[in-house]
Amino acid sequence: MTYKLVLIRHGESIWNRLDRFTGWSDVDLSEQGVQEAHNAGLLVKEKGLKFDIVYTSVLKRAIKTSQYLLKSSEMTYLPIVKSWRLNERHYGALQGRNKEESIEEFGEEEVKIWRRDSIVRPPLLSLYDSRHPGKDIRYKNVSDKDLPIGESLSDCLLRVLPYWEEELKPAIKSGKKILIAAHGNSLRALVKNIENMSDEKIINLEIPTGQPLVYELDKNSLKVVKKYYLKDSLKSVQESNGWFSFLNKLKK
Amino acid sequence: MPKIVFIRHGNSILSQEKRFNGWDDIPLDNNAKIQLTTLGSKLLNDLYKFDVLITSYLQRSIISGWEVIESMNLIWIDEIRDWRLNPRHYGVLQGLTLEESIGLYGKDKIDKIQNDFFEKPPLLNESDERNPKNSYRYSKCTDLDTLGESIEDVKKRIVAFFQEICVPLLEDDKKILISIHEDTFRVFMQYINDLSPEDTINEHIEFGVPVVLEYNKNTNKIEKRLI
Repeated sequence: MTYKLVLIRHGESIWNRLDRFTGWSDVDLSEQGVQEAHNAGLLVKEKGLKFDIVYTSVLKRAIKTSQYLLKSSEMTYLPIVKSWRLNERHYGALQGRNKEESIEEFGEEEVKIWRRDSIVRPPLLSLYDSRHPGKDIRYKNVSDKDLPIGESLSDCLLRVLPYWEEELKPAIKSGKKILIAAHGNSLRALVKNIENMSDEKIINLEIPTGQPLVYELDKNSLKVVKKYYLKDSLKSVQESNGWFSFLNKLKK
Repeated sequence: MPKIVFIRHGNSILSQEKRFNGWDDIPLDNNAKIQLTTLGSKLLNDLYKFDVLITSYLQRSIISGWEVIESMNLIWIDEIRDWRLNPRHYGVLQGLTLEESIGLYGKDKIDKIQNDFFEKPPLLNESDERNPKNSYRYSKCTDLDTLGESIEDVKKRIVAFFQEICVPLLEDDKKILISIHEDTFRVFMQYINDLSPEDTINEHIEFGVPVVLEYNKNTNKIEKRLI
């Protein structure tokens, strides 16, 4: 027997279009991003997938991805738990800048390293910067020492880890079917833990946006038994088995 | 100061006849989004910073809450869903029109069901698909066991909800936003105002006019005002 866990990366945001470093900036989904989330929900409904609880970050683009998915899959009644630990990697002083401006200011080589090296941090935010997370009431219950002002990929992985261990893993083990709607890098952190991947491998992993990614985990070891994108899966067993579906096919 | 602010959910897609549609999950109509955003701005201007959003299990309550907190830049706050905020469950009448119900049970009986505090509607069979136990949505609600409710039954669950969910939050100095249904609101206010079953409840909540409940230390009472 297996536990099922589904991950989804939020759809396109307005700043993706403008090629800006987003990080913890609270940017909305673009029209296309909304459509991606809506379609993901339709797919969930079509495949007959059910959840018990949804986890997401405290950033609008991930929360709205959950909302649109739940609306079109007709499961708005599910509990939603939001945590800052599932936020995107914090891009420090690069947040809000587009890639070109950053290259101009810091040089091409530096920017490349910030994006591609797992332990190098971006330029950090100062305490007086209006983008400092301490100035945002949504983080009022997070202790100062935990609040990032610029993270390397590996900082981000470490920040997500306690949430995986203390919240998500116990939920999975209690038999809950969970959906996690989050960001490119916080999902990398989860995948790293689920698949026991090395840092080198994780940095090259690209999770496509708006595509529900299903893991089936062994009930005892939590090792991955199966991994697939929902769009590639067959209909759920109940629907595909037996005479009823056969007869339904004949009807069509 | 801790407080509860109630908003009535936006209008659902209108049905022509009056129907007992309490637990049917009817979507909001197309104008609702704009109206809810306006409502959010109104609350924002009054500087209501909520800590938590509480809704029923029905989409018209949930999505109304979502629209309002988003327009207040509070989309990130905690959310609680509680089936005990659902409207009254009308048992066999659920989904029927008023006319159909009167045809089946007579006007006197239907009047009594609607107005008498203790009168239950005709109950569902266990196997009826309208029995919440037969739907995935309510499958995790272990405290939910109803085949049709009297107003008294609704009051019991509202009181339990208030004691278990609201009181600890208020004691923790939280500001609560509740996206509620008209009939549950009336029962809630009957409880808050300490009215007996025989008293008429002159409480309404209109869409666009949030109701605030605040605890007044001087009078040791919960006081109500409109925004």
